[in-house]
Amino acid sequence: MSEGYLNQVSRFLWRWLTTTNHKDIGLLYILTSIYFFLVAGVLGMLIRTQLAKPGSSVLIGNEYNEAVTMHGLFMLLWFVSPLAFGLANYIVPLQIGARDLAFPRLNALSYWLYLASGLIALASFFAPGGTASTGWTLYAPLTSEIYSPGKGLDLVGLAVILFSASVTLGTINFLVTIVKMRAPGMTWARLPMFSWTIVFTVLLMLWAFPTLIAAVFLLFLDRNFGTRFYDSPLGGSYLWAHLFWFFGHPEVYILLFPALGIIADVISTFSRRQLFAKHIIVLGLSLGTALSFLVWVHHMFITGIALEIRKIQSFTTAIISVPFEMTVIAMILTLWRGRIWYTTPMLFALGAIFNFIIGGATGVALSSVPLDIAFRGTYWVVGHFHYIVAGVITFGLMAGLYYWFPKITGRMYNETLGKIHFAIAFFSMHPLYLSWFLLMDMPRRIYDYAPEWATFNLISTIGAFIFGASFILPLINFTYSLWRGPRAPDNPWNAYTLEWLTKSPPPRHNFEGEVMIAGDGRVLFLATNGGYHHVHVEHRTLTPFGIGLGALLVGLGLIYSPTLFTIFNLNVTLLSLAGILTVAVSLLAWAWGDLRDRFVIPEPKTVEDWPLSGVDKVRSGVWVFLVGDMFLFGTLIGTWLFVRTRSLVWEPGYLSHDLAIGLVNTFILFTATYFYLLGYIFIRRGSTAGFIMNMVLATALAIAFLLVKVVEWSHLVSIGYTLNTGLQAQLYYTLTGVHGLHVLFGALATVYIVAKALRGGYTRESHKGVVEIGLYWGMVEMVWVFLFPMFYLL
Amino acid sequence: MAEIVATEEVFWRLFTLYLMGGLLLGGIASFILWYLAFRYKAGSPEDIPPDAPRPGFIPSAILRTPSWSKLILISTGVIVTGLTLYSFIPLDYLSQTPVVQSPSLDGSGDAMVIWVESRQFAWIFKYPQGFTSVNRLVLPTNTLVEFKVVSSDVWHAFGIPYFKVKVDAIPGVVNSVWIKTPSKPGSYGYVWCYELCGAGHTIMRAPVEVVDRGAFEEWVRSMRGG
Repeated sequence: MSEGYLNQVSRFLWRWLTTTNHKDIGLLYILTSIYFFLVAGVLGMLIRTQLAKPGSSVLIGNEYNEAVTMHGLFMLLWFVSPLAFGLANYIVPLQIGARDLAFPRLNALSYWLYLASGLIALASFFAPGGTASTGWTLYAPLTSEIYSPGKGLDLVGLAVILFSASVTLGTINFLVTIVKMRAPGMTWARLPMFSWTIVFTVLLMLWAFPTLIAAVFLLFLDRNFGTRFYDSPLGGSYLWAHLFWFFGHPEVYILLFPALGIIADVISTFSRRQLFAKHIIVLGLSLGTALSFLVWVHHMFITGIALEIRKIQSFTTAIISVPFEMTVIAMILTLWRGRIWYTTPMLFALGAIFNFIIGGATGVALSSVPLDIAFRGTYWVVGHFHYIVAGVITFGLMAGLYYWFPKITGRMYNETLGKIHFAIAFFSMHPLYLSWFLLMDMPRRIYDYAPEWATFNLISTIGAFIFGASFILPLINFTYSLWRGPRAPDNPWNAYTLEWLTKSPPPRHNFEGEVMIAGDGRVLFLATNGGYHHVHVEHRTLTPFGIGLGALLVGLGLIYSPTLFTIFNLNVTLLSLAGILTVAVSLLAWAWGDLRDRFVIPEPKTVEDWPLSGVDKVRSGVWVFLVGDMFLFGTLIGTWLFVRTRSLVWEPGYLSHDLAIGLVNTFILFTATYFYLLGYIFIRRGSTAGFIMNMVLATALAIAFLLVKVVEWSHLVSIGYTLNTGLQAQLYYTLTGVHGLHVLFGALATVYIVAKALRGGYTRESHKGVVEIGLYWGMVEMVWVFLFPMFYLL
Repeated sequence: MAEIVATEEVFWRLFTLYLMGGLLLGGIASFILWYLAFRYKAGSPEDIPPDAPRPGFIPSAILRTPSWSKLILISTGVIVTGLTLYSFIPLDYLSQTPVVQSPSLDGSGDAMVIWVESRQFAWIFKYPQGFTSVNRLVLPTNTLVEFKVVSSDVWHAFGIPYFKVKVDAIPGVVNSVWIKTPSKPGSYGYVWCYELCGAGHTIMRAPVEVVDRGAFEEWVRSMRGG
């Protein structure tokens, strides 16, 4: 190994591990998601191999269930959304005329957490007892310690939580970027459809993923700390189903929307027409976004839920299908009077629309309760959502990959090979999935079946192998084209959206000059934006990678490396401790970089930022985060309500909490916020000393709150009131515990403020961050306003 | 018993309606899709209509849409919600076990009530005559049967494909579902588990046999004796 070679490797690593550029991160996302697509695809082929004929024993029992579970999880969580967000990372800033995302470091952190979560999910295969085998829906109480004792499920749960955290950060980033960083003149009415769908996707993610984090967190407590949220005879199974599908139905649209956006943009470009009735589609999709939280019970039609609720949600389900029918019709009508140029992306888009018609029509049947009673848990349902996930979403994402390949790489792909890929994929997916509608009686997730189902299963398996193999073609196509493909022009498709008006591939700062869109829609590249001229700064940092690496070590430490000690059921290992340390050091380094203002990004003078014109980026981001956090607490409080309404007595282990101690703590918390507010008033008047004094007091009181909590808890534990005492106890510890963690983070953030103030970072004019952390304190307080009566008064 | 429509009959009627509607509307939509796709094929990539959006211009998308497009919107809405509202009728019918005057076999009520206990990985049928049958469901012809489904461990789902009924078996909950057995004796497939319940989910099935009343009485006698 020569010196030069080593040098090259380390430079390569430094280049990719420290990047915060949205195009780099986008590429990392795309490549990683394709890797997980292959993993999930191989699992799918294994399933089809087992099902080729009745009575085979390629993959049976728990191994089969593991394959089914991980096929679903990898496809939905680690392939579809990450590929969509890889494309969004790369394309959205270009489409809106921005230099980067709003928070480049958070973006890098999102990616590294995503990678860590995917690797932990992969590692779960090698855990003793195998990985999760409960189906991707993780229905309780099969997921409890008794029925699924292996550590694999814990790893998968941790992976899901990390993934959700990554998604939540991405949500903040994309929402703030698209709302606050559009080039002047890039009004909402001019926003391309792909960017529009990303807006709706992240809105849904913001509401859905915190719910999932909370739900899986409770599962983790159940499995490792002896709580019994989900195997409680008082409706624990229902609780999981409600929480899961409250996340799960929006998740369906989270998967679908970006693909719809790609299809819309591609159809518009290649038929040389504007999207038909675009404003109606946007209205329809916003209606779908809002309604998606009122249809989750249609996944629970046969659970014995009240007839009235079933009728209401059956009706809302029918209503919610209308926006999607409109979208399909509008896409079809876009072709009308166009001049359609048949390229590979256009073919995939047209194929996706056709598949959407089949997937949609079979889905409408499921909204009818009597039909759902027959179809629930059968291959009809599986066929319906595979038409959507494979036929619409994967086709849409493929259209996006082919469409933007020239822009991203600067090379043209091979058109003939692309069309062959489309033809094989399109004509093999119908035998693969259409057969499943004819297997409308066959239960899901079985590895052996009645002989009368043999024919269609065989047809399906043959289709599956051709379909799966067809994805080798784009791999060859893209790899070869990257190396030998002809140079791509800047705008090979004669498309009109903004990303095609820069070079292929775009320069690191995206556009030469400042983008501005005139009133008549003309795109201008000006030398300055009101005196602002983008100075290109490279912000490199290793901290996001460090946090991701630490998270990975914590996860792997759950099963590997020697155990240091055990808390309840949880082994704390050397690896886990090293991971926690890595995360802590990285976070400190992150804060240290901030203290020294190392990551300040110059901002253009004018942007299109309605409706958040008066709110700066960081504050918008904090608001978005707080909305997500409220959904997290909302889920936990909802859990409390669910349990409380089902068990009129809190037995066993009911305890009337000491009101005095609760009141004292309420007083302490409110006073802490009061001092915080005082500090804010002082800095507004320019008194740094008064500011620091009040901030120190606020921190001290926050710590006092935690100390009182510790005293209260240790007293309760000493009288035998622990996590496993009963429903009330486990709710009490979980909810006040999560709230306590929030107080701890608030205290740390206030310490950061004090540190920054001591370095002279705050003045009367500039005190960024003070209001933002104040907002956070407000939320922590508001949550306590709920928790106090829940545990001390009721 | 003649006035009671069997559950599978209810399903097939409603399913045919949805299938016909889906095929018709989906067929029209697909036809228009492929027709437009071929009708407006471009001669070459340079063949661009004069009113096409041009690179360098970003159109503002408040477009005028033809009035007939609103008609499409309203009619799809009406069709879909209409179908759903219509399916509330069979839903109500399926949700309540019908009341009949003809005496059932044990003489205690209208329908023969069989308790179904599901567990990893077996179906246990508790007959009103006071015996249990494991993984074998024998039913008399032309009888109204109500299943009361419970679970003694994890979440299962009880379903008999032939009768097109299904209900979840959830720990701590009693769910019920009814069928009317056919008048022709014979083998009617299996009871299957429709919710993943563990390693043996696949083997959790019980054959369904419908026998005439005489044979059923005999089977009951043999089960009680044994």
